[in-house]
Amino acid sequence: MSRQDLADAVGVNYQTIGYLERGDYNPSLGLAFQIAAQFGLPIEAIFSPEPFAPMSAELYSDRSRQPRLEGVR
Amino acid sequence: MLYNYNVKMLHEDVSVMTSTRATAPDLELPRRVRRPLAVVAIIGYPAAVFFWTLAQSWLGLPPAVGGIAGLALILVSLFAMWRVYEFRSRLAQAPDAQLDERQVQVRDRAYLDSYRIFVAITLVALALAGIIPDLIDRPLALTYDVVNWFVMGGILISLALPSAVVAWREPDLAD
Repeated sequence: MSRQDLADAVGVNYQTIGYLERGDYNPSLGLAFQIAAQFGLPIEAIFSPEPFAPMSAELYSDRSRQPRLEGVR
Repeated sequence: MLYNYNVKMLHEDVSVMTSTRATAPDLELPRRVRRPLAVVAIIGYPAAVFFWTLAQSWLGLPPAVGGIAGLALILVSLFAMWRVYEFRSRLAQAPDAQLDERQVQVRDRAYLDSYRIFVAITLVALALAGIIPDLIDRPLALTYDVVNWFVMGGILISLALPSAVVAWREPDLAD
């Protein structure tokens, strides 16, 4: 999906998608819901008042929660 | 402040991201160029009037030099006004129907700031019109020319201000 495709889908200028990506613009609640619906995700998966943790951090923290394999010391 | 970098991650993940519709790239200027242009668009005309009216009596310049400098400033100022007017497809002049929510916000804030700047410029101009004649010991006669300069300045600056504010404030288009 291009920036233009997403812009067309939610009815904004493609430059506004760029501003959203860079964090230069906070969308209205309506636009935030439209974008969330476009990706089929809850709104809090896309927008957050706190910085998102890096994906690697989340991945390693999940691994640390996995049960250890038997026989591995 | 909302953190929303996931928007980029999400639609980049779906496929290759490309900007399919550039907005008049030949007219897009980087902010380091736009900001001086915005300043020139606003102060160019007052500077020209200064040269026409005071360059001879105050700075002692020959009339031809003051006239040519004033005319050059007017032309540069008109060029700067045109460039900031055309910025981002005339965003500052566009009606709501042609803009999205962010652009409406940018335009409306530009008009509010333009009003504040216009009031400040008017007060400074009136103060200078009161102070400078005393400094050079020549009363300011309200002739047709003087009134015309003020009226023309008011019209030009009020028309150019919203575009100049937008051109000054908008970040560059990244990537």
